[in-house]
Amino acid sequence: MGAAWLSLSIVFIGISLSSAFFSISHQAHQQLDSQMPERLNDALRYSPGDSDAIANLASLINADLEQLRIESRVPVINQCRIDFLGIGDAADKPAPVRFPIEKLISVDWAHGMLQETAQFRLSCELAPLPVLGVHSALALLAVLMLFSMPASLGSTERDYLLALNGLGLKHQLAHRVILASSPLTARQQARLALVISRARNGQLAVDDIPGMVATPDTITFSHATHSVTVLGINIVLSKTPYFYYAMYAHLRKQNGEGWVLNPAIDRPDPQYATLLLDLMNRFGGHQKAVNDLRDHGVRAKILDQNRNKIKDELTGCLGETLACDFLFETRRDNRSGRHLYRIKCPPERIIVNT
Amino acid sequence: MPWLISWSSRTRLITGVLIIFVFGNVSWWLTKPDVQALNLQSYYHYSCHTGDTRSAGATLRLLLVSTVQVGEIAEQLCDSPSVSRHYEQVVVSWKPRTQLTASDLVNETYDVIWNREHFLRGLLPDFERYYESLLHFDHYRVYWLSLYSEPVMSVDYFQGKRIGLLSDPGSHTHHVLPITSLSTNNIPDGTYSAIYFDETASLYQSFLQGDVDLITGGSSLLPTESVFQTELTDNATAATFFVRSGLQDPDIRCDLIEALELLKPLWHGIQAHHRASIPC
Repeated sequence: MGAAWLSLSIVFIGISLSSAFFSISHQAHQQLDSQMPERLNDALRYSPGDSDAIANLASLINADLEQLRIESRVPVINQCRIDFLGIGDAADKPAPVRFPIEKLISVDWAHGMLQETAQFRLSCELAPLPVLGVHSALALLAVLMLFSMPASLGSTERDYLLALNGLGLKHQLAHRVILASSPLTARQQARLALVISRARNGQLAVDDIPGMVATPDTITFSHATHSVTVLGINIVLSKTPYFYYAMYAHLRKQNGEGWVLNPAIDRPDPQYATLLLDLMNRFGGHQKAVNDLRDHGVRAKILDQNRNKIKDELTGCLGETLACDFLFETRRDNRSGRHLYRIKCPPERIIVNT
Repeated sequence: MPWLISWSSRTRLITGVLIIFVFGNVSWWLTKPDVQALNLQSYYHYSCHTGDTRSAGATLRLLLVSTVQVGEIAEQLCDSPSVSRHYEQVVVSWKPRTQLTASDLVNETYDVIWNREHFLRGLLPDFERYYESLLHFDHYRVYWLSLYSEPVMSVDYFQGKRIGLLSDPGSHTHHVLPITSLSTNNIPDGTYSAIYFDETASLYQSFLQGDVDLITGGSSLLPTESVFQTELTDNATAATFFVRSGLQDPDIRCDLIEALELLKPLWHGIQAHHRASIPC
């Protein structure tokens, strides 16, 4: 920001000084053009234009043009003067001028039948403090404005922003929501789309939108209500599928891998049955399901059925894109040829409230 | 500003450029200079200071029609004890005589004026109330001059000739006399072509370059051996040096005459007379 300030100050100073000097020399040239020929003709009417006459002329003109009055709102040019250098080839050839503080001005005029040229030099003195003060202040203001410009949004971001705004969410809040969701991956877009559709349906108050979007991307199991809360949305599942789901969550958290091997069709699994029975007994599982488990253990078919029910319920609520992280992934056990299942997302995104 | 919040990167860039542009313009607007109108003085004068400060601001002014020796005349007057007793400054001016006005005479702007009596009378018939003669001259001779052949006052001779004149109608030698001469010799306008000049230097230069065939002039101005000349008149009225009647101090009058004597080469061959009442 400091560098931007410095360079913008330099640019402003450069532009303003060169345009000021250009303007001064242009105006001075115009005035000399309109007044000087007549004055010179009058002065030289009876004069042969010898060196004494020219020296006398030069001292009179120089005294006249010793100080140009220059007015501006902020005085960046302290003062200027014009020196008469001479007429035609007799003019003193001064050292090359130092732009933009000095400039040569030629005035052409007709002296009798002769075309003459009078040479002048305009030189100006800067007012360094006002120059620095005004331009650094302006540059500072400009840089502050530049740096306080809000970040720009892509077209997708703007679409969501307008949608949120359309729901009645204030622009600033909506903007914050979009920035918090950036970058807009397919998943983030799905989250926004879900929030928007729920707000449209009246399932979500507009004021809660920011909090909703900021909710951690986790799944929380509540055994007591046999419901899961995903991305802030509470989904109450049927009792039996819930307990199966909770079993998978429990196992995923218990050991890092958490793969659950589907039992063989003819040989139900007793180990998982114990875990399930414990959950169902403690949190009010259906008696029928409890009995079935106790009698037959965990059967492959029932396991498959419940996974499908969970999938249906979550996908129905969240849509496939959002649900898939919390659903199951599978791999094949090479030895038995059967499938292993586990909840896809890592254990730290799974929270179990007992 | 909703559009600000939801702008695209292109809008943001344009806005940034616009901010710099606006501030650049403000900077330009704040510092835009305005050169106040130049108030140029006239440059047809030479001045010097006498070194005396008691006579604050008093100026001795001379109006001549030549720049010959102006510096020397002014300096000599500045060095004079009697002038410095009364004046702080001496200014010798050669304001074009066409710009001399009646009010210059009535207001006694100049202490000395070098001009022809009839010209001043033309400006102000009773100019003698304000000015009197300081130094006057006998009548002098004026010639028609040519580089090619002796001028003859006939229609045949002037047929197709280019005549150089000064545009200043107050010029006796180079305007009034040649026009009078052509008229009295019955040479009609259509015979010759008149070419007008603003000042004598260009007139003489054009004559010597052959751009004009004929001019008029005094005998002293050009080397006689290379120029054919025919007398136009032996009765031309020379300009007189007039002095302000109010300036009676004889010492200053004498100093003025002495200083103007520096111009003697200009009236070579013409007898000068100063006013009888001046004792120097």
